Amino acid sequence: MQLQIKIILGFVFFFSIFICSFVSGAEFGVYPSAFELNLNLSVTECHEVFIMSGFPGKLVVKDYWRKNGFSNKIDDYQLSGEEIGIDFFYFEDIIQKGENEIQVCFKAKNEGHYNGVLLFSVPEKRVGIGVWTKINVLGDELSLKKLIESNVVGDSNLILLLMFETGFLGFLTLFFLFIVIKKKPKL
Amino acid sequence: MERLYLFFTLVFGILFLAGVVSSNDILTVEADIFSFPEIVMIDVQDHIYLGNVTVGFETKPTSNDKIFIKNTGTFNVSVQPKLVNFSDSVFGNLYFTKRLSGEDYNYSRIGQFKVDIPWSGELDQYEEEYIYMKLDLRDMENIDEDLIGYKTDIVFYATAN
Repeated sequence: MQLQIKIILGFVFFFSIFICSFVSGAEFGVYPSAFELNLNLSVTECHEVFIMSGFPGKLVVKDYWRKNGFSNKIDDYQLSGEEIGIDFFYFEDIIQKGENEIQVCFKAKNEGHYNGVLLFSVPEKRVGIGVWTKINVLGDELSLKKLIESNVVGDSNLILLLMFETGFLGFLTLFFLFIVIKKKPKL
Repeated sequence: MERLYLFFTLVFGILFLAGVVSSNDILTVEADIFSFPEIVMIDVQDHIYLGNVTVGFETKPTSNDKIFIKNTGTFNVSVQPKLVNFSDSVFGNLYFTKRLSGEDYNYSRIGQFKVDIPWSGELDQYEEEYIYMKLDLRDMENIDEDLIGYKTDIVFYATAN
């Protein structure tokens, strides 16, 4: 009987060690570690962020900003979104153990370039990750430049577009010249 | 007899080489290629007990009071403790140091302290660092009632370097 108890206790002991070695206490990760987003005035844009968590919990994301370029110290980011005119919000405040995908969204009221840090945390687990963020808020004047720089109309596509437009305008000019010459009264 | 041995050795040698060096054989090589996981990830113990402390005094951390932080991601990180409630008059007096003696003995107040932890360089390994924390209430004004089991939320934030 004592031998059976010893075997059971031994099994429980080793099983406990097995469980402990596979369940991480408060592991928490976020990727990407940084991202940049171009916004048009008063238009909401979102960005995907992935969270790897060793536990389920309530997620809190806070945004802090600065106007004077990038700094790698969290405490250098003292401005709130309200102060610089950026509305920040996110979906899904409950995360599960494993990988979670959430959308972080921004809407800007003023033109400019802003550096920020998004602080993702599960306060009850004492762990958090800061993600460096750069927001470029473009007004109407900068929108064309943005369009050219974006992948939708890249440099090579832009050249093709210009060639097509030049050819089309040339064709129209020749066509109208032809009509004008043809309609000219013969002397 | 020796010629016979030589003959068979040559024949088997040629057959062996012909089997190995065959220009028509295609060796298919297969591998699963994963993208590099660029992730900032840490692991911190989730409860820290500071013990008893009286207003006018400070806690004295010992070598048993290490707070372990693991860098389990793939970046060199800086880890900085921050109070969830910035205006906490008691825990605003938390101080951190990397070591209790030597070059890294230097207490910094919460908000000004950070510790760098490099990436291990391997995907299945992690680097670990430890720090010490004390509650220094020497400059704090006295309180009307004892605060038993007084708690606050500190979050250890990691950022990529």
